[in-house]
Amino acid sequence: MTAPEVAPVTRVIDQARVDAYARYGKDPNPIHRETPEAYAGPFGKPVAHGMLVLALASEAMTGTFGRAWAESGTLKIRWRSPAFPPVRVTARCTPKSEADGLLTYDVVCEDEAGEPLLTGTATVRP
Amino acid sequence: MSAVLTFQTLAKGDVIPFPMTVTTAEIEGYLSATGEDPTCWTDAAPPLLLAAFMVAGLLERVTIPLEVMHTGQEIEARRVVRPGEPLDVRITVAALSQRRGATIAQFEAEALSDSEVVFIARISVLVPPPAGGEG
Repeated sequence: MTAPEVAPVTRVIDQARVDAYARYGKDPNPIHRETPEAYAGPFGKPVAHGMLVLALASEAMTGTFGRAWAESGTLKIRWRSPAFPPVRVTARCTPKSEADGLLTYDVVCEDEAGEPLLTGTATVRP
Repeated sequence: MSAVLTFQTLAKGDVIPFPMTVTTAEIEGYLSATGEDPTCWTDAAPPLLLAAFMVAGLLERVTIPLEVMHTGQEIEARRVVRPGEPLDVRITVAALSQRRGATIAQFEAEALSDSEVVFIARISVLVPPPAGGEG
């Protein structure tokens, strides 16, 4: 089969969303929230969870492949830049190749300026 | 649960095992936080949730410096994980090295259900050198 197009997912990641993710994603590290630790930390201000940014790419793949994504999906990414809330993030998964039923996509999550926040690849066997 | 291990005392090959079960309420909360439509996940855990919760389980058991940077992530879904399904998680310190005062670590995490590997996550982190230190 030919790898189908995957619709991009765009979402604003603001501090409220980061705070919610800290609770429900079980990552309460204070560098992600409005805390003294965040302002004294490596970024000098709160930074969104990398896994929250990556979740948009997973959501994009789910939108096209549904359950197959949970049954066979893979992701391999590197974070490139920190995401400082509020930031408008777009996740794009672009068809790259198909071999023996395995579909491969280039993955990028970028900010509103087009700066890559993370890059990598995704595969799925629908 | 209090962390009982520290990042500084970890060694390559160390294994951190723990049980994990994802509830429907946890899936709903996670999706409300990420903003994803929950329609597809009424009876299954999103793959990224599994990875996030495995990292959380690691952080409950290993004290990691606040300044740690999550530099890379891999996931590999083998099959759907259902809410309430008991999982046995095993996180192995796959690599641990020092470079210019920074510590680089890779963890390989497997989630098993009745001895079947259902999900794998690989987590890469970097702890910068102490301020004023080497590097």
